[in-house]
Amino acid sequence: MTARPSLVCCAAFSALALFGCPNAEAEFGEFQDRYEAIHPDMTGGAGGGSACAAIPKAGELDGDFIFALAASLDPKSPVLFDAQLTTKDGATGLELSMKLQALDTCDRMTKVGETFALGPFAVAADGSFEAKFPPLEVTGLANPFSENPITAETTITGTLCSPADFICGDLAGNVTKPSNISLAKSTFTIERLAMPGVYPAILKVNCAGTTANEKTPAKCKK
Amino acid sequence: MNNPSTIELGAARPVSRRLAGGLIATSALLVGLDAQAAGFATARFGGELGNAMTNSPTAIYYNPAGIALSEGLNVFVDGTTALRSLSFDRRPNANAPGEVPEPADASGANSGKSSLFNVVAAPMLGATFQNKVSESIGLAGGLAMFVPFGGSAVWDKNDAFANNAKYPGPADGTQRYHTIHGSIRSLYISAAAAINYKNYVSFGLSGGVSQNSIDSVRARDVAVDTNLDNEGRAWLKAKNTTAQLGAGVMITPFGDKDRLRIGLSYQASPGFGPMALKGLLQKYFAGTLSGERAGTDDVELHQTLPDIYRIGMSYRPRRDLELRGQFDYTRWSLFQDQCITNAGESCEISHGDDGLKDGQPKPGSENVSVNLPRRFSNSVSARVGASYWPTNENLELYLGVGIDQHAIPNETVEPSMVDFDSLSTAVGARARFTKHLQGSLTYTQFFYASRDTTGLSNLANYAAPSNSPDSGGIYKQSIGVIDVNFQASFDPCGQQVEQSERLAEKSAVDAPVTPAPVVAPVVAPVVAPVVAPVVVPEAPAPVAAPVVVPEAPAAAPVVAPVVAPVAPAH
Repeated sequence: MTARPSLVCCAAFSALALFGCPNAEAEFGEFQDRYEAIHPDMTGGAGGGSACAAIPKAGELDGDFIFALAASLDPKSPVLFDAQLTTKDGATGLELSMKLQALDTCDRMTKVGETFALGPFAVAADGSFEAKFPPLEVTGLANPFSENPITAETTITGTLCSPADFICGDLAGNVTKPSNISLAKSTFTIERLAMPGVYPAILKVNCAGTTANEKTPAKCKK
Repeated sequence: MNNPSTIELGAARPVSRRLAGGLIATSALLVGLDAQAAGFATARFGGELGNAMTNSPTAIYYNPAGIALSEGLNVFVDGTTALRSLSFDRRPNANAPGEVPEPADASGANSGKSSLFNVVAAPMLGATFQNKVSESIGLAGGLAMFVPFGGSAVWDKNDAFANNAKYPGPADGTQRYHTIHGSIRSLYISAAAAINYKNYVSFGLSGGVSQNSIDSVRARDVAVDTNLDNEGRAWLKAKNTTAQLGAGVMITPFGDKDRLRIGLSYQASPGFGPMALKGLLQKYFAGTLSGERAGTDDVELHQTLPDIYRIGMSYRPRRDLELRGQFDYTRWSLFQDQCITNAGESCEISHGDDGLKDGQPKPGSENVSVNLPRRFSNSVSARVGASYWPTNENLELYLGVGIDQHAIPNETVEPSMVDFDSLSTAVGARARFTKHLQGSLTYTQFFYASRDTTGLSNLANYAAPSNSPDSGGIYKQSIGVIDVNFQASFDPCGQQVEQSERLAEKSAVDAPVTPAPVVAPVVAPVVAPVVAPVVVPEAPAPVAAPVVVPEAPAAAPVVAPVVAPVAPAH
C-alpha cells in the first residue's frame, strides 16, 4: 500500500495551512466510478416479462405461490411471502389479485405478520401487468438483513403467460423505513407451490433463474 | 507551565473587530487532530503548559478560573500538528456472523494489513483580559476557539486491488468496513469570565457553543457482511451546534499565584447530554444510490460526548523551578452508541440487559438505520512535569511525562475509533522575545502499546442494526505532536504599576525559598534602595532585596521604574 500523492500534498498543506484532508464524499464517488466501470450493464434487474402468446383465463392460475422480492441491494437474499393469487374477468379484461403474508426469513416457511390483500390489477391483452402496491409494512422477522420491520412502496411489472406457474419481472420503488433505500433494478418472482405451505428449497429471484442463497441469513445465526 | 507574571505585563488595545473576524474565519479551517489521549480527546493546545493550572488563554478550556491569574490583555495563537501513523492487521474471526470467506481470486481483500500516515493540524486562538477592580478583587474575561475532541483518518489504498476488474471494494484497504476517509470533531467557541479574591482563590466559568460534526465513508452492504460481490458504500455527513459549559476553581494558598496553584475544573458534555447531529446518509448498494434526492436521507446521528474532571497542582519550591502534576478523569462511559435514524426518530438501543438482544433497538426505536456500538469506558490520564528557568524568566525549559488509559474496549475497537494505553513524554521551551511577546515550542511523543483484538471483537455479534463486520486484528500506532504558540501581552490599563508592586511584595514573601545569588549583584544596586522601603514591613530588607532579582536583568527595567510610585498603593 502506498500513500496517494494527494495525501502527501494534503499532509504538507495541512501543516502549513491548517487544513484537513479527509474527503469522504470524493471517496464515495470514486467507489461508484469503479463499480460502474466493472458493471456497465447495471440498467435493469433481469426481470424479463416479455409478451407471451397466451394468457391464462380467469381462475386458471388461481392457487398458492411463493413470492420472492429480490432487492438489488442483495438479490440473493429475498424477502419472501406466501401468496394466494386469484384472477377474474373485469371490465377491461383479466384482473389479478393477491393475498400476501411474509415468511420468516430464518426458516422460510413460517408465516409472520399481517396479510395484505392487494389488487385487483389489470392484465393487458399481451399478458403484461403493472401492480402498484400501497405501502407495505413487513415484520422484522421477514427482513433478511436485520430485525427491523420494513416499510416499502413498490410497483411490480411482469407478464402472465399460461400456465403461469412461474411469474417474474421487475420491481421498483423505495424502502421508506427503517431508512430510505432505493429498490431500483430489483426483481420479483412468483412460483407456484406443489402443496400449500410447502415451499421450494431452491428459490429463483429473477426471470433469468438466478437462485437465492440457500444459507441462513447471518442474523439468524445469533 | 504557568506564566510568570512579569511576562504578561504591557500596554495594549482591546480585542479588535478584526481579530474577532479572524477568529471566525479561521474556524472554517479547524480540523480535529487524531486522538492522542483516551477516546478521541485531542486537546493538546498549549503543549505541556496547557493544563488546569495555567493562566494563559488556554485556561478558557482547561480551567477558566486560571484567567483570573493573568494580567492585562493576552492574545494567544497556537498551532498543534500531529504526525500519526497507524496500522491495522485485520485477522477476522472466520466464525463471526457476516464473515464471508475471501474468494480465491481475492486473497488479501479482507485480511491483512492496512496503514496510514497522516499529518493534521489544528489551531487554537484565544484572548483574555484581566483587570483589578479593587484591592482584593480581580476580574477577567476571555474568548477562545479550539478543538477539544476530534479525529481524522485517511487510509492508504491497497494497490493489489487497484483497477481490479471484478471487485471494486478492496482497493480501499482491509479497514474499509469501518472507515476509509473520516473525521469527527467538536469545535468550541467559548467565552469565559473569572474572579479572583485577594490572590488566594479564583473562580471561573466558560461557555459558548460547540459545533459538532462527523464526515465518514465506509464499506457496507445491506447484509452487513464481507461478501465482495455485494459490497457498497455508506457515507454519513452530519453536524449540529450545541451549548457547552465549563467551570473551575484555582487556589493559590500563599497568595502568590506562581508559588503554589491548585486547579480544579469541570467541562460539561457538549450539549449537556445526548445530542443529535443532522445530515445525510448516502448509500450506494449494488449500483444504486439509495434514498430520496438521489441518495440523500435526512438523518440524525445520536450520541453523547463525555464530560471531564481535572485536578492539578503546580509548585515552585524555588523561583527557577516549578513542579506540576495533573489528573484528568473523562467520563467516556457516556459515549455508548452512535445511532443513525431518520430525522425526528428516537434511538434507544438495548444492551442486552432487558430481554432484548444486545444492539437491538428498543420499542419505539424500530426505525434505526444503523447503530455503531461504542461502549466506551471512563478513562484517567495522569501527567507530571517540571519547568526550569536556567538564567532568568525569559527562558523556561520544561518536560513532562504522562500516561493515558484507553477508553475503547476490545469488543468495539475498530479502525475508525482506535485508542491505546499510552505513555507520553514532552519536552519544550518557552522564551520571551520582547516585552510583549513570548512563544513556546513543545514536542510530545506518544508511545502506544499495540492491541491485539483477534477473536475479541464483538461487532459482528450485535443484533442488527448494530452489527458490522468483525474488527479483530492487531492495531499499532505512533503519534508525535508539535505545538507552537505565541502569546502577546499588553497592559492597557496601567496595571503594570500595581502588579509589579505586588510582585515585589510576593517576592519578599518568597524570600526563604528563593535562591538569592546569580543576579543579585547586577540588580541589587538598582532595585534594592527602591524596594526596601516598601518591603520592609513584610520582610527584612536584607532578604527582600535579592528576592526581586530573579526577574532581572530583563525584569529590572520593568520593576525599577514601577516600584517608585508604588507607595500609595491601595
